Amino acid sequence: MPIAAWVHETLGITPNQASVIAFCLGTGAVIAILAGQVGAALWILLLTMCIDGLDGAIAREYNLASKKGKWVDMGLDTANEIMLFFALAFMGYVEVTSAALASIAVILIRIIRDKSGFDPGLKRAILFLGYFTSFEFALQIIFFANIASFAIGTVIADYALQKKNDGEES
Amino acid sequence: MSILPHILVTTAGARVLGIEGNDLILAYIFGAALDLDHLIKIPLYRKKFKNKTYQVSEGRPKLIQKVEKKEHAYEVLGMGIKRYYTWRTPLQEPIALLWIIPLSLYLGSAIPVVFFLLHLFLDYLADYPKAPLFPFWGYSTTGPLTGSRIGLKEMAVNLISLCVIFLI
Repeated sequence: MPIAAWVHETLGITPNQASVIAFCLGTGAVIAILAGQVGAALWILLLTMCIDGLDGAIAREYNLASKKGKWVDMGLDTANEIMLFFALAFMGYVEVTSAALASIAVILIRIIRDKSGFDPGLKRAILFLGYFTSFEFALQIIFFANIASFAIGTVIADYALQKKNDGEES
Repeated sequence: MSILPHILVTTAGARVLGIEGNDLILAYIFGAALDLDHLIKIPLYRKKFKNKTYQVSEGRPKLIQKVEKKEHAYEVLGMGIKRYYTWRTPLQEPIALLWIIPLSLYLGSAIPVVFFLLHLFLDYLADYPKAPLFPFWGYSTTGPLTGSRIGLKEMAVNLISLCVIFLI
């Protein structure tokens, strides 16, 4: 990816640094929501997601992928999403319960993803849909998509282990 | 346990709690229909038990020998291992509470949790291997009641459920 190469080679940014920059920008989106500037928050969020995509690209292209880096990326993304959901709740766009349930769902999908390899990616990106419909609706989609994916993920992991065991034994 | 005790216990539970309408559908989904997850394992099951013999070890079957004749394989396996091992998925293990509790909170109804716990209770009466916290922990157990026969337990559960259904 040319952008990843430019960011890494010219600016000297490492994957973990890209994750931290994306988190800081994401925090900017949270602050914008708290300031009542939801439109601006979504533009910042778009930029956040673009930069967030770079950390993985840099890591893969320059063989810098590490378990620690993956956890840093995952932890910061999850923290940012939870902050966004609760900022929306604080400003009255969504119920606190909806924010809490959506948060639980994104945590669950993140903890199963490594084991199942399944993640539909329906998290903060769905907030853009919420801007045109309602954020309550967007959080419901996030909750259902991720809670269902978690349940499916446990089955995928179980099926994969059984298949592997069967293969090893025969 | 097989599907019949699950259906009977769910029906009895629904009668006791006076559940109707959409709540009744939820009760049957989490009390009985979760057993449909067994269908997912059919391809593995068919592949696994063809011309092979197994014994259960730490909750998972281990191949002990390959045999030439199919009949021999079935003889050695016995119905116990053949019926139960590969059928279960984490959808009907305690780990599923991680998604069923939030779902109950969302729906504002305790029915999914209550009937899922009933389902779990019946399954854990049976002594086939179960992995309660897979995929996060590989611990497996056969449950607390390994002494008595599964058929007997099923019969007792069916009888009690039928009594409740007809008495209420």
